[in-house]
Amino acid sequence: MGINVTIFAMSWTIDQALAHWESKGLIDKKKASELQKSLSQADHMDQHGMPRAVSIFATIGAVLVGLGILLFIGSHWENMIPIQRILTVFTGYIVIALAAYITEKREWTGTSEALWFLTDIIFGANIMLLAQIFHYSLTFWQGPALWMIGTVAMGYARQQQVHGYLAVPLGILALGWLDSGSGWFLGGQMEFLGSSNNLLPILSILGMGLVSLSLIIKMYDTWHFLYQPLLRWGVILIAVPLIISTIDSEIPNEMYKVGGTIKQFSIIAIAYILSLFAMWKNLVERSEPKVYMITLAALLGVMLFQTEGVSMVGRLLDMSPLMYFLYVLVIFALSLWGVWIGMLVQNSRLFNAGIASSAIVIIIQYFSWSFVLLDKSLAFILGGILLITMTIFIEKKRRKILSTF
Amino acid sequence: MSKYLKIALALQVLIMVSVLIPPMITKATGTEIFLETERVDPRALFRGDYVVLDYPIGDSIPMDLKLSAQEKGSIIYVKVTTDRPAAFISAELEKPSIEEGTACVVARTSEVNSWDGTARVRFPQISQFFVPEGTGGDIERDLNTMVAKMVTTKSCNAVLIDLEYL
Repeated sequence: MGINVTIFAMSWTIDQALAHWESKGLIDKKKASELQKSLSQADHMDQHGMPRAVSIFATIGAVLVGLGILLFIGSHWENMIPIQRILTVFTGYIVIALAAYITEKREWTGTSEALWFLTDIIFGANIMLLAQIFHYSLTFWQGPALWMIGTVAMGYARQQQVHGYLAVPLGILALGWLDSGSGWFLGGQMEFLGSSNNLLPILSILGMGLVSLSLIIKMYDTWHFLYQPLLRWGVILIAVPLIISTIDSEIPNEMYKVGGTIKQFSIIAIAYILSLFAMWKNLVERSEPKVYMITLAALLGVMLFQTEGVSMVGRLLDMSPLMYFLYVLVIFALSLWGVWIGMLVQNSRLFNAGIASSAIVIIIQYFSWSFVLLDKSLAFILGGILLITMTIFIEKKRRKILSTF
Repeated sequence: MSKYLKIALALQVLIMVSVLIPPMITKATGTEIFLETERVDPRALFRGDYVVLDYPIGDSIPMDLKLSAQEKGSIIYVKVTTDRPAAFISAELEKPSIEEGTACVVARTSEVNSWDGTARVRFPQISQFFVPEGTGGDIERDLNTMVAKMVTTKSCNAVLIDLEYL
């Protein structure tokens, strides 16, 4: 319901909507005038009964304050003995939680929710600062894992999605840092995005697991605050690696090489179990998205088949330009298919993700081929024209289609 | 304040306290050892300046054991003396028995050189020492003449305490 209202509001002005209902005979002229008057006298409230701008500014403010506190503590940290450091982090947490509580009591809802979110940020920063006192490893995976648990608990208590948007990437980071830390690339902190023994080859499968989990969680009202964050992060994790793999024929070979660690096998198994469960429970009602999910799951599974220590498909794509061309076409078709599924299920997020993915695939292919076939200056000019034309086309078509949802 | 909000706040405080407990237990019950250090540098994603520490004692681990640990994804238990600086006793994939005057730390094979098949190890629990901003360079220059003071338990968990000159 909330989603439909958002889409609706994006596509119709109030005057347009009132005129439309009037022409359909759903309301008379007098009622239309009354409705218009009532809106002009009221503030624009979101579904929680607070001005949306207040929520947005207060949340951005919370993030800025959080970063400021972190920087302040960081720059004065070395002059403190451990017990002073411990007292500082706990005092900071108590002050923010108290401020959130007081603003809630005064019914400053937007500010209070932002401060509860700030409590999450300070809580996480405190975990990392406490770990620093004892020189914990840089890839101290328990840090983001514990931060995620505390954030989910707060999200459950507040029933606000913003906590979910923080909790999901923390979970991904914890998984990445688990069993990580051979030392290279920022002390191993980013290793999980670049190592065949870590999350790199299974990022899209992890994304599929998150999307499936979001569908399962949707069944439970009290966990609904995690639905959109899981869905959106899941879609990003599915789409981004697949799109990156269309940049060069060597990339799938490198990206889908699986080290075969216990962590990787566990994540793959759990993601497929969650997907099967979502299907079995009929959480995807229409057959078209089901077929889409099955196709995606099959493709991602096939990419991981290994032979002689490398991805079987990856090696094939690296060796055969024709096969790689077909692979890029498949990824492009999947993006367009995503657009179609988004239209069918009237899900603007999926629709937009499909549009963005297909547009990026086109741009990547343009630049891959044009530098070989065209003079560089001409390639830039044509590329610019292509981008502007695509933007106009996407914007016009997207709005038109979204208005039909 | 709702019941769930109270639980959430209590859980967050409990988690923060729980981060402090394991290293405090290790410090209270562990054995003090001093490992010679060598090298390097930069800045943590969340936590400011740090010095990356490497320990020459890792070179004493037999190459076949390093490669075997890499293949199995196992950690290597390195047994050392409690002298200052510590001397290498043995390395194995199983937890060693710790007698008086000995201690152990855990290592992982981090890099295998594909050219010559040699491997290096890191000591993940004790490989970063956080320092005041801007002082990392000075410490880095002196690392070859320093020892890392740490405390280890019988199960080979280690907490880094300080860097000292030999």
